[in-house]
Amino acid sequence: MRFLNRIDWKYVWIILGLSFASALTYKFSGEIITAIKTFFEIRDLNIIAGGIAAIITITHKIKKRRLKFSPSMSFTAFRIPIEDLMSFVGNPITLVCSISLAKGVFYQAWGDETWGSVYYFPHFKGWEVTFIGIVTAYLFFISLMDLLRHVKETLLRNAVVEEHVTPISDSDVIGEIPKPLN
Amino acid sequence: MKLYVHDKNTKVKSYLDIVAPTRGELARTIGSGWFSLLGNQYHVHEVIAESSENNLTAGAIVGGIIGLIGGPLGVIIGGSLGGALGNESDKGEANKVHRFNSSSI
Repeated sequence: MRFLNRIDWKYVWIILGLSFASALTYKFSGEIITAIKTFFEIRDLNIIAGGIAAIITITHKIKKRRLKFSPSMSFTAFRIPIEDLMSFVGNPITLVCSISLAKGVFYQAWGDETWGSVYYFPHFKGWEVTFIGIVTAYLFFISLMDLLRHVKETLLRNAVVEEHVTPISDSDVIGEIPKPLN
Repeated sequence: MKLYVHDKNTKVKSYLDIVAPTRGELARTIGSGWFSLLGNQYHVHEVIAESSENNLTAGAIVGGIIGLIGGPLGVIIGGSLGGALGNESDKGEANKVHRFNSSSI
């Protein structure tokens, strides 16, 4: 029992999950390649993915109240939410770019006579395409993680309610400065 | 990272609607070292930071899904790298929490 308490279950589940997923991928490799191909062949995939990402990012900014406007704003105060509003294009563009690159790398790597070899990168050697694949995977990863965080923060109600803080002038303070808590 | 104080009456955590890297920066953002929250007075020294991220599992899952393109080995490599990146992000958050909690004005 004491031994079980010492086990870091989070990592145990990750090892088991990856092993299981890897075994499934090995067993059903043909079906998975077909599923990925079907995914990349969705009509207007880039527009759909980019549109969904843009909508989620804007909604997230609205929920987090990063887009605050008032009639008495100074130019500097007005610039901050405008810059924030414009930054919403970053995540969708990264996602669309990584989907396009992944599609090219996938077709070049897995394409055969049955569904046609398409060379998206005809002037690149094997190892160059590998590096494109690695960068694509990284771009895909960061854009998906960002998107997941936005979805989580936008769709789920906060488990904790955040309260508004009001400053107090020194003359209204009752009591002494406490020691820092940590 | 989230900032909270213990409610002076109920001892329950009350979360602030702002975030700052240190207590000094928090005081500057609020405009004073003292502030009022739910009718009670607090000093920024009473504010505690806690981590609000868990990217390890999400990173491993997303990395594993991306790795599907590379077959069984791709799943293992993608999942491991995704988990490592997520874990690194969690550590960065833990460092930010430590920095805030060890700061004072």
